[in-house]
Amino acid sequence: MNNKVKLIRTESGMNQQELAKRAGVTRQTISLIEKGEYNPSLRLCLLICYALNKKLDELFWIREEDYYEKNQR
Amino acid sequence: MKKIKDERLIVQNLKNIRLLFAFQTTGIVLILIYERLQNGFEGLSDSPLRLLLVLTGTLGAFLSMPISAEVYDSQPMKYRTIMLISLVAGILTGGINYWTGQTLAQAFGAFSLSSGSFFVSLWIAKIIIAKQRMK
Repeated sequence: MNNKVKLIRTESGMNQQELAKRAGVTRQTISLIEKGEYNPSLRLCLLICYALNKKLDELFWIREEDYYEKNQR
Repeated sequence: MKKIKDERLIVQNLKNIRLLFAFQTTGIVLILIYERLQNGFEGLSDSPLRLLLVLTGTLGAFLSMPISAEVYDSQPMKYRTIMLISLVAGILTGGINYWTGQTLAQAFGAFSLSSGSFFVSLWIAKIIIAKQRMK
């Protein structure tokens, strides 16, 4: 599922390794989350939000219309 | 070695264990088939691997009982009731095996006392659950 982790991470000048260390996961997991290939648990979503100092909806929110549009395709 | 904390890797590990389990079970079944061909039913019923296989099946059935989709129209039979019926069936089979000197059980494929009981209770539980799901 799409998210804004990569955008916000680069904006805050952090690399994947640093974010991974702060969230307590491996760099590969962060990479997969950014590519939308792995759906993190709510717990990990929160840890990433804390690490980037953002709220959940700023990183992971998808508008309802967009969600259904993506899933119909 | 550090303990894995990454949730993605933990899930991956569990998936690997599932694969390992399938591999191991296949191995056990193959060994049992070999045992059957080499030593006949005698060798098969003496093998502790067969008991292990039956016990794993029983454990699997009991563990999968609380995992069910809400597909029932009527009130499903309670978990405890199914357990009790299975237990009674198992004890009955064990008793029959014991009193008939296992002749009856041997007619059904050379069960030993304990594994015969487990086998029957496993299948009773499985049949009850399958019937409830079909309703």
